Amino acid sequence: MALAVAALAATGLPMTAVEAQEDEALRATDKGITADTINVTVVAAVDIPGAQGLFQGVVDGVEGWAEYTNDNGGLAGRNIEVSFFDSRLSGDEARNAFIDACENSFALIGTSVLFLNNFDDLTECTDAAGQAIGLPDFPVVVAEVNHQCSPVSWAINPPQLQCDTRDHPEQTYRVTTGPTQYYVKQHGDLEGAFLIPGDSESAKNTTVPGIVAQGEQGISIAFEQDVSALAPQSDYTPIAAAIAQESLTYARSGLDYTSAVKLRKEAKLQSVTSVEVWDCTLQCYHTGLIEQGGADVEDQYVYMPFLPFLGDNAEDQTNDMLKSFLEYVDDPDGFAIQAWSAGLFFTEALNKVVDAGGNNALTRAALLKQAPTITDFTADGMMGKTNVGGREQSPCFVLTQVRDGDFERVTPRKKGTFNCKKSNVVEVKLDLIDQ
Amino acid sequence: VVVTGERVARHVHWGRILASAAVTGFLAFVIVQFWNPNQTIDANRIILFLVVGVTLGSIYAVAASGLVVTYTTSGIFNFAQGAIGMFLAFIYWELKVNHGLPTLPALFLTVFVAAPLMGAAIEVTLMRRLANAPLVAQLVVTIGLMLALIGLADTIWPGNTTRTIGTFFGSDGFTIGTTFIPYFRVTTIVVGILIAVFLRLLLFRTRLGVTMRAVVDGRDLAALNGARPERVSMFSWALGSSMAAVAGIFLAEEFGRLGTQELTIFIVQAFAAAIIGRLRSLPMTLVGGLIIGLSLSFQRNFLDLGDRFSAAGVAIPAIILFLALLFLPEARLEGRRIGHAITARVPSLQRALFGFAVLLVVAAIVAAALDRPDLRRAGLAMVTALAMLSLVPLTGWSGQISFAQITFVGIGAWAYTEFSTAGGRMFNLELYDPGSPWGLVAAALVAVPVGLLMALPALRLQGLYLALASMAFALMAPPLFFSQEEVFGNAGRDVAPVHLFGHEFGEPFEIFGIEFARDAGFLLLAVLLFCVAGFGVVCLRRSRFSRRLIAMRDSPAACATLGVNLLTTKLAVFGISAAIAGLAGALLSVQRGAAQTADFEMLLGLPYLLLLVVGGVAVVSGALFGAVALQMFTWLLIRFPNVTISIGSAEFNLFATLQRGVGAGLAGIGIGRQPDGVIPHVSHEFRERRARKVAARRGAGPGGGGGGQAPVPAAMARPDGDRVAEAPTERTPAEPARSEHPTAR
Repeated sequence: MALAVAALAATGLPMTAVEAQEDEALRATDKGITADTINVTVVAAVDIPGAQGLFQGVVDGVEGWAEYTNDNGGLAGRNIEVSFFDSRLSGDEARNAFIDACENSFALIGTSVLFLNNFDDLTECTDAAGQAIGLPDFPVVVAEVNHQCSPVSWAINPPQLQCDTRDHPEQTYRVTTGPTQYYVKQHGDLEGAFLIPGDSESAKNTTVPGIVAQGEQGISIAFEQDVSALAPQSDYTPIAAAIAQESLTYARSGLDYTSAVKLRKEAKLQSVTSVEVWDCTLQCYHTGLIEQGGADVEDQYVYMPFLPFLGDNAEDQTNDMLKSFLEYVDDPDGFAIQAWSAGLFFTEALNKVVDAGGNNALTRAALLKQAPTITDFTADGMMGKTNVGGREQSPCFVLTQVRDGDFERVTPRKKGTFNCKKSNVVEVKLDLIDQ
Repeated sequence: VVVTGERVARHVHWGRILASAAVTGFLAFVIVQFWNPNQTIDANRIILFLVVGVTLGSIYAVAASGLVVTYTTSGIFNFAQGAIGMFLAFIYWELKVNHGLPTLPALFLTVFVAAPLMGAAIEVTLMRRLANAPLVAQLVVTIGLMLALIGLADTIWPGNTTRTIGTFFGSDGFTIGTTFIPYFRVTTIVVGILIAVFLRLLLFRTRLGVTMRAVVDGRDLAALNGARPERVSMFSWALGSSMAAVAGIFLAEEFGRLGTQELTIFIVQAFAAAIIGRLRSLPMTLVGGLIIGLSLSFQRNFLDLGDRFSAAGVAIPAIILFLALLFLPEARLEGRRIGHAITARVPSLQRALFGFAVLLVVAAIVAAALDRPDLRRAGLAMVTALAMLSLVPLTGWSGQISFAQITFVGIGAWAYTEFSTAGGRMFNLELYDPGSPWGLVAAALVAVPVGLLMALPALRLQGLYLALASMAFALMAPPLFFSQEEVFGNAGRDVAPVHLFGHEFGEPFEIFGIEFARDAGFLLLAVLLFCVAGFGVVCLRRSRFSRRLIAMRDSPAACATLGVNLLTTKLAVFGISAAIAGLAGALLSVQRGAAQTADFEMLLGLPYLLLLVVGGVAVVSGALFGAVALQMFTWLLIRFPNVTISIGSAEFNLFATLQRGVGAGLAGIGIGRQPDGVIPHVSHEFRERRARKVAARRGAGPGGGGGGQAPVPAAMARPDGDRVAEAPTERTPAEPARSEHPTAR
């Protein structure tokens, strides 16, 4: 075989490494890889007392992606095998899951853990050769700074924090403000109320840079209010009343959809008519928003880095991958599509390894080398172009609005497209780590 | 005598004036410091403040009223009140939404059929045997019930579906000033008032009500006067459950959807209202609810807490709870307490040393055999055991119930990060290397003054009120202290591993050719420290100090009469307890490699008390049992993930259900049968059996071979040197029931 390769090379005939090795028998090349399978682990907090099924969408997304991939011939000649580890609300169990995955899985996909602040088990994980090169991790939820800046983690929706500034007195955050620019263009300068998650410091940290950036883009901050996710609707009365009294034109909930519903319901009761833009996070792109909010959440804006996939306005006809996602995942939500996309990112990185060295070149080291080179990831057109490898927030977004009980695309108008202007991303400097 | 009485009265009077002045000064400082200068004050703003405050307050009041009713009519502070309301709100949803019943029949069936049945079932199966149980056992059973109901509800109604029940009268309402008040909130306020009036009439104007209160004050005396305590008690719980159902349904309206967590935990926020009502006065409970509501409304309308204290608003109900407890009249010194007292055994030193040696050997074998995840679970179990151990002298011996151990654990973690991870620099002096074991010592020492701070209310509070004060302390600590940038800040703190003589505990090592994996060293360190602390606790148990603690628990008045200084005794036991918990906190942060505010929330500390009591609150081995049990639910689920059980057509994952809280909950509920805990019970059974065997060999003895349950005499010396210091004090029918419970007004 080697002689044949040398002879071909000498003749100058084009031949890829894959072709050179396609006759070679598949073998176990690293931990989690056998001749037949590639084992990946999804670690997610699911079975939680009082918050059942928190990240179930992540598990559904990864399992759906694996099934889809296997139905389409697998990866590197092998089938994908998914191990699920429910970390619940325990950082200790999340670490145990990482330790287990380090020994038995090739990579982590869709990681969504809470209350864990130590990721040494990811970064110091050893490969089959005993080298502490780390466990490749393609997470969905990166709540803690240590996870955001882990050298072996590439979140599918990259964090705002620029990790090379994490030790600076003021850190740099890259924030997508495309929707804000749209709001200001449509409605003029706005004055707003901002609701901040009051239960978790890390959740708060992910909200604050966005608010500061919005302030710089033309939405002045009338007031910010910490709100608990467990607050009853009556807690929103003073907020709604303040919005009405000050005739604010913008209101944004940085919590999940239940908070947005409570705010909108209370605002309706308090006859708030001044607000022109009701804004919310990606977590509001959920059927629960409409089921729970009904007519009260009409006109609610929600933006996201994906093509719309819920309700009658799902754009599965414009994108084959989105169509597959909706076929393979029964209860699609924002977490599921991110997890599926994380799987596609893994696929792309792995294919690069195979392209370079063949099916038996699969090692964690090779995967870790290829992941940072993927700087224009689109999940086969399902999401806007994102520099996942470079850990940079994407400028791309689709803005939707609830109209007649469904999420309807607002901008860009053309189905299957994203607004990806470079100017959508702005940098802000804040000290949120040592604060 | 008259002069002394006047002096005491004057002292109390001035004490209250000083305390009032201090609180007023503190509130004035907060208002001046955090006044929002951008806020305009006009009539509309004031109306808004009042309307929002009253609305919020009425919801707190309704939630707290159920608590007060249950306590007034059963004498048990029911932590599960919120969970019962939550469960019944789900039943209401099931009837109204899932089965399509109209609102009124669904409401009737829930409040007047399902709720009373549930309450009666709880009384018959759980609460009846708790009438004479120690307070800690009563609390643990209700906490267990709360966890079990949450787990059960999560299993029956999984959280991945949105469930709403709508609101009474939709969005109709009226406006005061510029604030709209929907009828469904008016309904809440009116129903809250009507319930208060109805219950007052019931309790004070009807024979049934008088009987209910009489049964709580003196079950046997009430029976002697012709009452039927069982039936009355059952009615009381049925009534309390109906109250819980009403609160649960109103809360579900306010939350917009049904969630097990929101509906259950909200009741904790309402504790302050119940305490302002002294757990007996419904009108004052209503006032308490209004105080909470108006305080929250004031903060939101007029104050700007800034970045540093932005989360402090969440702590307002806890602060009010703490202040309300401080202003309670000083508890009277009690005479002999009636009822079952938890046995605090005195182990021999030899036996204790043998036990710890066995534990070390087992730990060494386990450390060599387990894989890393299980090593980490075992290490976590030992750290948890240490935290639980801190409660043995405090709760097991001295009877001071603390929910604040998790706070001391957090203080220890912070002290370790500060004094060891930071490089051992103090005053620009290099005191020790990062990761030095001196950091563990510092953690224990730093926790002591915090323990003493916590002890301050203990000097004047007892029993349930002290437990609630400690809970308020634990609720306040995360938003007001742990989240500060000087402590854990927003991003948490990294923690250095412990080093000794250049060796890092946690790294792999080899002894006598036996390889120990990573984290095995930490497990051995944790076991060693548990043994050292445990042996210290055993020695303490054999000392005069522990006898003082137990005497203080059994009869504070007698102790004071004999010249025991209750003040220093209480301070000392809180200090010791905090030191052990602080050490556990340092170890916890080392094992996790990081420490953050979220690790030290009050709810995370509930299993410490729950499972320690299950294991045996007065014995060192009880802490070990409780900690292992806590980890066991997780371990069983991971090892056997697919074991299912079927109930009718429904199928449940057994270990997932247990792990969800049902396991710990059932264990807590089970303590009602055996308040001494599993270890003392098993140990007692073992000794009994052995005594019977010995007696049978001699031809006669206790039980006479008939399997009888004749108790071992209280002070009977045992051949191995162990002895039982305090026997359970059985109540005879002629003795009055304990009068700790305040008479309802």
